[in-house]
Amino acid sequence: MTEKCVRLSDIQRGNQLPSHIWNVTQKDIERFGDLLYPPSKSNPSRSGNPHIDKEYAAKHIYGGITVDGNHTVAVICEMLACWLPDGAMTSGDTEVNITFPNPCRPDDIIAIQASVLDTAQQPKGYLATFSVEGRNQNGKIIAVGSVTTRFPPDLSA
Amino acid sequence: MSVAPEPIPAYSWDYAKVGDEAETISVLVRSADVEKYYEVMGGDRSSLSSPVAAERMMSVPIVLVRIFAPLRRHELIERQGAKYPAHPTPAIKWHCQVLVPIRVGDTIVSVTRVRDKYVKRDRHFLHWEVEARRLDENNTKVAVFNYVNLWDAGKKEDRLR
Repeated sequence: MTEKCVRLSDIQRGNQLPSHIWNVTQKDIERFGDLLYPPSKSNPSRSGNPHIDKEYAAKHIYGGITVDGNHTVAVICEMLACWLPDGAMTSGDTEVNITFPNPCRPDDIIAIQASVLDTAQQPKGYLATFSVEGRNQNGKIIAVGSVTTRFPPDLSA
Repeated sequence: MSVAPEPIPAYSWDYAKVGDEAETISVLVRSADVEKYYEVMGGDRSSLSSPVAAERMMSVPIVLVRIFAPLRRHELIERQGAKYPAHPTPAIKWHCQVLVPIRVGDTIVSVTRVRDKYVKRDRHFLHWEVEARRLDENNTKVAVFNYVNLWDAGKKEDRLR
């Protein structure tokens, strides 16, 4: 996905992370849906789900299928997880705060940018906050916000 | 003479009340769900498989809070004697804070409630909160998830966004 950073010294305020390009496919959207809202006995086709049911989605607000916001957040978190030292995104002290100003749709090409917003050495470990932003091929922002994570103590030493 | 049942009202923005709550739910954190997440996301699964990870007893990926502490909007709405709106309710904001590691084998007890409702730029929003605690002797709070949905059917121009 991206080149892994293995040294804390690389995580300095203002540093830009390697950008990530996300080619959004309907197949990926459906696979993510299998994880979070799998078919059920009462609704095996997942009708009425705006990320899966094309007919339903076409009649409503955005006029077609849109990507689940949870999926967008997962892509952003995995981008960071791949770049950061092992365990940095799964240390159990993480905050993710993302807004979705515009819909993300199948076949969009999303460029995700992230940079180090702030860092702090604290008794419980090294804390880093990243600003993140995803834009589609038309330059519209589909996700923007921040991710804060505390590094495991053995990485913070 | 039989009486026709009362129609079930839609859980409109007006109908929603701050403090409306779903019943609590307990979910066991299963390794199968974590494995499936990595299978779907194709991400760096070293947090699962490396000896370093095992030693550190890492937490599950943050997005999986959505499985272990589900946002029970439909159940909450049913509990309030209403039905979900017939139109999609797009996510506007996703905010989650994991406070302590959540690990495979934990049982997470969570509750979904309406935290706020507001109008902004002539649009109506509902703000949900899921508070998640580990089933342990301290009832440890492990995560708080906040989610905002646009509750209107949308405007004509939204189709071009």
